Amino acid sequence: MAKIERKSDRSIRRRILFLAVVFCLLCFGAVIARLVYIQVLNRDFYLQKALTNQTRDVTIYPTRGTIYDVKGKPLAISASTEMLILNPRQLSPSKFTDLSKAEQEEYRFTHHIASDTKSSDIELSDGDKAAIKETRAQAVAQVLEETLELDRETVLQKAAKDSAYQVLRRGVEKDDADVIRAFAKENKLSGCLYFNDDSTRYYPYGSFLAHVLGCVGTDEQGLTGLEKQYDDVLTGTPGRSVTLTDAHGNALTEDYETYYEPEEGQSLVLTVDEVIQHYLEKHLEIAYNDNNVEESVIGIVMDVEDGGILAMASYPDFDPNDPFTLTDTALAEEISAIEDDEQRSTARSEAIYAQWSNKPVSFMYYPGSTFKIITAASALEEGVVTEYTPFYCPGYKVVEGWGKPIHCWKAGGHGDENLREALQNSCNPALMTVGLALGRERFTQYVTAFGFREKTGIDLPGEAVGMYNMSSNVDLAVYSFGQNFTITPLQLVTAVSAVANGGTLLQPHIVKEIRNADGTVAQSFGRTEVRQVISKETSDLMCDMLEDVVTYGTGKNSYVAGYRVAGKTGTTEKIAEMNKEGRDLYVTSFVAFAPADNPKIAVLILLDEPTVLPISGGLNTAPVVRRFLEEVLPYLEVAPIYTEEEQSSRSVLMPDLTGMSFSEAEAALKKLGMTCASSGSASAVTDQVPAAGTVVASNTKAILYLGTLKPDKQVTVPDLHGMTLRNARATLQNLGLYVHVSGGVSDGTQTVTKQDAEAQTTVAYGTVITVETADMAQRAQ
Amino acid sequence: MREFPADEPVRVERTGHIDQPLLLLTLLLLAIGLICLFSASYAAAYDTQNGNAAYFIIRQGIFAVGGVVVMLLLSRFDYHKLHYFAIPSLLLAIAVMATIKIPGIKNYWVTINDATRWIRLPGIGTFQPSELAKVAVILCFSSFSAIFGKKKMHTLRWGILPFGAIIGVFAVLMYWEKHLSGTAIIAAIGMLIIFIGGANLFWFVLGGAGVGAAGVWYIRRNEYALNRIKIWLDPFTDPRGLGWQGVQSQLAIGSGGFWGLGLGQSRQKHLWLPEPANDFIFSVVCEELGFMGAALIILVFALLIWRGYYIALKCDDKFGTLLAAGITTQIAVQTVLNLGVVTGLLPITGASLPFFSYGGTALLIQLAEMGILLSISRDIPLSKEG
Repeated sequence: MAKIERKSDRSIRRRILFLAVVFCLLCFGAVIARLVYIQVLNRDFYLQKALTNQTRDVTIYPTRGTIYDVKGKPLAISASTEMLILNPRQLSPSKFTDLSKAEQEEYRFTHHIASDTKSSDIELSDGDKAAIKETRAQAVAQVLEETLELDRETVLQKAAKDSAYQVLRRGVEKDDADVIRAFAKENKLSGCLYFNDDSTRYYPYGSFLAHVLGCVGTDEQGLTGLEKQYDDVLTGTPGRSVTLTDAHGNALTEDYETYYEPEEGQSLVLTVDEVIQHYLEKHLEIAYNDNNVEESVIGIVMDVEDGGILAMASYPDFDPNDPFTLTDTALAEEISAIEDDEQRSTARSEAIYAQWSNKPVSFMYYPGSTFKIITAASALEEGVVTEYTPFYCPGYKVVEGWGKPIHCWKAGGHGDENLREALQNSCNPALMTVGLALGRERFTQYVTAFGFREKTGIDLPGEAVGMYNMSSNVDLAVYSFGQNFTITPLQLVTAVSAVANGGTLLQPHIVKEIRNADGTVAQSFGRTEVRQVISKETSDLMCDMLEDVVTYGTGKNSYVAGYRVAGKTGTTEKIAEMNKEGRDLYVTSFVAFAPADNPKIAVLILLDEPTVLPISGGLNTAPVVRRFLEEVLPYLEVAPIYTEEEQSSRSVLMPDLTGMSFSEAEAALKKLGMTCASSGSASAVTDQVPAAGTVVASNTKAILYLGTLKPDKQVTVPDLHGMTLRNARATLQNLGLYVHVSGGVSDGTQTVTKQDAEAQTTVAYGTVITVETADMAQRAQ
Repeated sequence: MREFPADEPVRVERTGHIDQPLLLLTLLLLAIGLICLFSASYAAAYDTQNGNAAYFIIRQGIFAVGGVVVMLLLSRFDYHKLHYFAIPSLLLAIAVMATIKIPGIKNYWVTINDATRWIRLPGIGTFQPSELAKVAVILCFSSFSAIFGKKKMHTLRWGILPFGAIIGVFAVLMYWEKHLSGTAIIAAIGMLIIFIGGANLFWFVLGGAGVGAAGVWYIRRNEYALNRIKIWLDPFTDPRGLGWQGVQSQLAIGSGGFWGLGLGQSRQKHLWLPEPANDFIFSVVCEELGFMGAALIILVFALLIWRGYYIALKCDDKFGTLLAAGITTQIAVQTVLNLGVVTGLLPITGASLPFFSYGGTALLIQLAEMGILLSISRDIPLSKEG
């Protein structure tokens, strides 16, 4: 039997002391040292990493600025929608009670779990969690495919990411969002499939001003047009919401949130006037259809005094609300028929870019005779010629260095003419002579000074610069009447504005003001002078000469009664395309400014490949300008001054005369310059022709019915095309119809080219037929 | 067996009262531990206990109160009588742990994360039999060492083999539980007791060399183990996978900085940290209270352990000395292991922090052990205390 040793000996004490030192000093000392290393010396490293982990940094998108026309009409606005967010991490349940009721039942069934087992006692293995996550992802992808047509694969890929925040779709409308919210709630997924505020771009007037406004992508980033040019301004500065989250991605309490207010996007006020733009688009579309244009029609209206663009359009256009749909359905079908995937998508994106292209600034073409304005102005400024310098046109000109004579558009030539007449005639040999007299160097100097060899600097994307490469006198001769070098429509309008405004080339602009979200003006843009190109005197002379082109010359068909319009026609062949396609293809154009004595606006209208014969700027394009100016000039409050003849046939609005006595009615008509006949003997007017509210010529004789009934008969409209106005009026009068000439004036040489009621249709007795007339002799190229 | 002397040959004056510094340090640690546990656990409790954020702290609080009562009762209990509990406690621990293989009872064992370390006591909760094993080892090893005496303890036959056998048995039992860290803790505590008890250092050197060699060999041929070591040395190489726990713990500690984010302000406890109420509670403490708070708490631990060893040194009864040293060593080993793991000094193993980590049985046993320590302190000779 061993005896228990009672006393602790010295070795025990030594060893205990040893352990005490090891633990208390060494081990704890090491831990303290480690803490110093982590917490004191390297805190920032760990803190940064921890914050990156813990924070959910959500960008708060500011509302994109609005684009207004000059009168404050909104043309592009952002409306609030919702953004669909997925938290993939939370798609995986952390425990059984996170499951929806259906999932719980399913799980109990497949895992043979007794129904009396408490839910809180059921453990989910990692495998189970992964399987449930996969099933949920499939269900989510399914629903989103049905409601939002989201691609299944994309959704599944995003769901598989180790992330707490994935944007699935922006710009979700409320109705769709409600469907998804209900689905999330039912499946206990509200925490991981939810919505944040978002906004979507709308263009309330569809294709109106589409090429200028441009469009935005799915994230409201500007893709084309002003949306692209001013993307930064419109976008504003995104804010941020930094939220601390737990490992499942749930936000902790609000104390942990830092919010940086987004800076709302600024708005744009354009120089574009909605009314003028509307007139321009209307007439471009009419011209497109009337002339069976194969490519496009382009129009620009510029304020000659401050360089602001009042209207700019091309047709066909597109709907910026749906920019990726091709407007040209035939082309769209052609593209979808391409078999090869890559080729098809390339063709598609090329077609879409072409559709978005803002042709007024990007289209390059031979200016043709419209350029004679520049040639003449330069030569006058240099004193090489005067308005009375005589020329002789035999119908061609031989230029040294070129084997063949270069022809004038008029076979047989214009004979003797001075410069003023040569412009009215749009005579090529005379202008070649002018150009050659000016010389290559000076000609190029002026072309450059008028801004044709550089971008105009307008605040729109995609601006082109033409090709100009003069190397011989033959080039000079041909360039003098606008052939063989290219410019853009905007360059021509800008240069012609300089000719019209006293000789100053301006930098065109389309944004008038940038406004802050609160409506205050942040920045405004006005007249920016580039350089003085010609003198005031030359400018005045050019205005006078170009007014004559419209009054007496090839521009006749753009004459608007009561207004002084100056302008120049242009017709060019698209030589490269003609050689390729083996048929005649033309660009016809007309550039004008008005009023000629005190120019306010410059207008260019251009038809790319009109196919209705005969083709010339004077016939295809000048009437378009007339129709446009006829509406715009009154809108711009330019006071009309009529000649005596015009005064008698100007357009007036037929008043409502019913209820008046005959003498009152007669007096009212007399004020408008109209006369009347009467039928019946009652004391008051009971009916009238023409009907109230129709536009009639002021030399119209109205019929007042005093108690008798207006003949209730239908009349078949005759074909008036090719008749002079006198013949047309007589023909209609016999049928009990009235005629009214659009533009309000027509001399004996003009014939009817258009009538508003088609031949062989029936109209009521007394109807006013509006016709358009043109001088078919004006075929200058 | 042998007789224990009923009477002292020479009467020595005993202090007769419990050691107040130790009691105060214990209560201080317990109080700080409970506060930290509440802060550390509420996010996890909210998430896993259906929104009941106070779930962990209430349960732990009940055990703490019970534990303090047990501690005070045991401090009045004559620790000499614990000799009689040595072998029974050993057999009890082995018996309980062996039930893992007994059909029927086996079902009461709970498996979490692939390890079966807990027994479910219906109505009470779960407890870890390995906690019982620690107590049994402390009791037995100090009792046996005291009985064998200095000379026998120096031999291989008495000083090493019986103890090695007991540890071997527990190693097998805990292998079934897949409880490697528990085995290591028990082996370490046992080893350190016989080290104090006078075992020949030669065997420690030999054993240490052997274990080291085996470890190197194992790691060399086992890619998984090698990977674990690499992850331990730089957890940021796989922050989302194997390094997750280490990374999250170090991020928590680092973001605390010198002054901490403030009590209750931890962000990492929001489900980023694994087991924020248990193994990684100290990471939360470091994040919330900063270096200052963490260092102060470590100081309290050090003082407590120092005081425990002080009592062992002052006790003139060999069993008392060894028992006091054994209990203190257990607290020290677990504390150091836990702090080493959370700070990344040691590879990740499951080790809870005494008085802090959530776990009712563990806390109850720790407080009971402190009760025994207090009881031993009453037996310190007055003259020596001076």
